[in-house]
Amino acid sequence: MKYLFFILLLALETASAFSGKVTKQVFVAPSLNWKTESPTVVFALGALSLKQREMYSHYGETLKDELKVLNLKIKVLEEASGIQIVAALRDKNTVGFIWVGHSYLVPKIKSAVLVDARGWPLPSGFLSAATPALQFVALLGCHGKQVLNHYQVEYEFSRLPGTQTEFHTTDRLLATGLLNIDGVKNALDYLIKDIKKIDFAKNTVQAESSSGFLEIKAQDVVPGIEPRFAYYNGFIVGTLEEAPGIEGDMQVFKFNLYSWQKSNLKCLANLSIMSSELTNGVPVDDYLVRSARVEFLNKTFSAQITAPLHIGDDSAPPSFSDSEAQALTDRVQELMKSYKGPSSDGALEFTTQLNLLLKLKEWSSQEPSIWSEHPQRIFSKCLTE
Amino acid sequence: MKMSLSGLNRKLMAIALPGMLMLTQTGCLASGLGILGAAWMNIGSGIMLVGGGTGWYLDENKPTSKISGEWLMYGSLAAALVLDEENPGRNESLNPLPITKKMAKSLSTDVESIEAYNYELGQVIAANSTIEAHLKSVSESKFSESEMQQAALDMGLKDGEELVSVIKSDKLSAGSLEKFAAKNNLTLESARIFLKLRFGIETAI
Repeated sequence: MKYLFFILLLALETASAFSGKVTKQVFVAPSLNWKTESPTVVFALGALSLKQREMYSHYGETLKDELKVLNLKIKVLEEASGIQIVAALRDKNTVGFIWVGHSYLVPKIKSAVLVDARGWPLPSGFLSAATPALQFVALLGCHGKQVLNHYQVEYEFSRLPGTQTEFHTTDRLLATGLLNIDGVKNALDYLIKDIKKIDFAKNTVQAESSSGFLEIKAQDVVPGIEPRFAYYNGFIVGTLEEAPGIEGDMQVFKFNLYSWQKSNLKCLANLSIMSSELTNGVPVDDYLVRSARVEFLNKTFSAQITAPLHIGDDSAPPSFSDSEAQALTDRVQELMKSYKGPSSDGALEFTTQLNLLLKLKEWSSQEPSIWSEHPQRIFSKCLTE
Repeated sequence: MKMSLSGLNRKLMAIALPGMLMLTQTGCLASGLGILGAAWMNIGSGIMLVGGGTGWYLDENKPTSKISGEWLMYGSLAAALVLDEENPGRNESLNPLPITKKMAKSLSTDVESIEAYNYELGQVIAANSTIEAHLKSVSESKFSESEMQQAALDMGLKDGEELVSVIKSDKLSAGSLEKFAAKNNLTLESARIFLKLRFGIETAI
């Protein structure tokens, strides 16, 4: 009998420990949220297995059905990348953001990182990309409390105008079918009930026009190698991917700035460009920053850059001929054929080799002479007036 | 202009990037330390991400591999949760720190100082590179007296003797911290946080 009781207790404990309990916090600001023309809820799926991805992308349809009474559009990002997420949050129509995906503990700082569908961690300041149109965020996955810590939710919403509600799962782990428990579905069911209580049009004001812009001129930014986020005073204001403008050999990136993105520190205009996470020796893109200029709240700031700044990790750019570049490509294809999965013999060597080849390919048509030998890993400067 | 990556097989990237994650989130197998938790995290995240990305363990035609793959994933991750406590993980001090009251308290500082630290990350990384280059020489027993002196000066310390004393005691005086901060263009508090978080060196301000 006592064994039966123990098993029952264990089953109940297990069920409750994985079942998708949700907690919410409301961050009220004296300022109002923005009125939106086409209020949209973004449903983003991060790092998941194929099976989980298929299963959860259907929940996008559930959200559409359940929330149609509120006239909300549902935008599903089935393989959400950090870059897509930042773009979605910067959209003035995004009133809600729901994330489902795996997270990883970072024990040393008692936090946990969310990982996007491409395997890159989301940057800890990703919520800073949001506009005051945003009214709720839900982060569904394991280690909810640690995720909340890592993504500095309280800090981000304390400096964003408007009222935001934050939801997160409080179980250490979230079942995705284990013991037939679907923690994500349970969490979404809870969430839908609460979202229905939000009046998205109430107490809103016309969206503010931008108060200025940040312009970055760069060279050899290759889209897709790593996510490069541009931060102005600690707010993510955009990403360096496909350049919208070209001036000679330079790629020109221009990002809108808003009144709440001003600095409360000694440096009035801080610009940083960095990847989502700085890691131990992982190959990254190498590019040049040529200039940075800000016009913001009737002031102009610029970076004093006398020579192009080399951002990346290659201290001595190698030079490759076309035939060598072709040989590298062939080698990559060859390695690809012999790859037998992550736990097979030599898998780690394969991954390392592959990363190296990708980097060498990046350099294959470079002119090394214009690159400084000692790159900076990130761009971080206080711009001066 | 450089060659575009658009010609590369997308699947290739899909494998490479989660692979990077495996290396970076743990960093242990790559460096050969073989910390148990990290190894399990590698296996778990590898199966989940690479396997998930390629459908490798979810092959419907191989039900055995599906079942064993899934359980191996859960088992590996569960093992990692238990065993990863000592995992050095990512380079905490070289990434933005979470701006929270809890984080500030753990570093005996305030939220504004963490904001400033994140703004100064570029200088922090540069300072770290200098120190690590010297530490590498130490580990390879290549240090001569003059190099020791140079290392001390690079770090803003008075001389090699002071450097040895810092290494032995894990403590830095307020005056030396000030010099270290000035040398590396850091505020005092950012310098203190960096040395504490990265090298466990305590300082008094």
